[in-house]
Amino acid sequence: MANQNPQPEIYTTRHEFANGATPGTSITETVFTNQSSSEEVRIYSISVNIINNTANEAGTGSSITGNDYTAQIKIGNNFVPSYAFDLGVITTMNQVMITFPTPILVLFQQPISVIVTYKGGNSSRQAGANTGVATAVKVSLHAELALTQVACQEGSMDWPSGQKNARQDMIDAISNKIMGGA
Amino acid sequence: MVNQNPQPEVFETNFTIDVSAVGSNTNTIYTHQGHNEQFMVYAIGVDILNANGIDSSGTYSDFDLTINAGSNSVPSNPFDAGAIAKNTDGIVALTCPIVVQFKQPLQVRIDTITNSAVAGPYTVTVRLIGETSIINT
Repeated sequence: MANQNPQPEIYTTRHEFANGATPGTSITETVFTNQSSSEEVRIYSISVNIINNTANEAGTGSSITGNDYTAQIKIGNNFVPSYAFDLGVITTMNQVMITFPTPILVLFQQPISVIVTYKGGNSSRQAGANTGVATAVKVSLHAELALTQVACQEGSMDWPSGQKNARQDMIDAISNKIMGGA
Repeated sequence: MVNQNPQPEVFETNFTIDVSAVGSNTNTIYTHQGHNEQFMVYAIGVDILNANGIDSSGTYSDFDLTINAGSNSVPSNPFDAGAIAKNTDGIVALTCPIVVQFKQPLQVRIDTITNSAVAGPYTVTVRLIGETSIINT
C-alpha cells in the first residue's frame, strides 16, 4: 500500500556468490512490492553495486571475472526485458545505472524475481574461471508505486475509455441494422 | 518556515561508522516547516569517507539506507547506498518526490551490512535534496 501517490521506491536485492562459485551459478532473489489491487509499480532504471570480496571489499570491477555477471528480471511469469543483460558494463559506467527506454510494469500479485548469473569471465561463454573471492552483487530497481489510473468518460458506456464492452458492441450492431449501415 | 516559496533545501546528516561492528545508525532531520508547508525530497546524495576524509566508496560500500517520513518508510524498503556513492555525481534522483508533511519526523537510517578490513572510522554523509514550499489548496 502506498503511503503517498505516487511513492518512490528503490528495491535492492543482494545476491551472494561464495568463493569458488562456478560459471553458470545463478542466485534468484524475490522483491516484495506490497502493492494492493489498485496499485502498480513502474521500474524506470537499474543500478548495480558489485562488492568484490565481501571480507575486504576492494578492486570492484577491476577484473573481467570480478564483474562478469548477467541479470534477468522476471515479472509475473515473464522476463522483462526478454533476455539476460550484462551487469558488469553498468558497474563501469559513471552513473552505475542504466535507464530503460520504457518502464517495466508490475501489476498486482505479480512477483518480481531478480536472477543474477556468474558467467566466469569468458567471452565465449564456455568454461571460465571460478570466483576467486566471496562476492555480493547488489541490484537496485528504481521505481515508483502509484494508484492505477483509469481513463473514464462520464456517462459513456465504453468504460474504460477506448475499450468498448460487449453491450456497447451489441448496441452499435443494432443501430447499424436499423440505420441500414454496415 | 520558508523565506521564499518554494525554497530549495539540502539536508545533510553524518554517520560515524564503527567498522568493527555491523549495525545501524539513525539520525533525525529537523525540517522546521510550518503547518501549511511541505517538504519534497527529489534526490539523495551519499558520500563514504575514510578517517582522512577521502572518498572510499571504491573499497567500502556495503551500506543500506532507509528514509522514514512520519511513521512510514519511503521508499518502503532499505536500499543500496553504495551504488549512489560510487556514482560520479554521488546523487540519485528519485522517480517521484518523497513528501514530508507538517509534524512528520524525517529520519535517515544507515545499516552496515559487512565490516571493513581497513581501519576506520568511516563517515557516511547522506544529503536529502529537495524543496520546502507552501501547500497550494
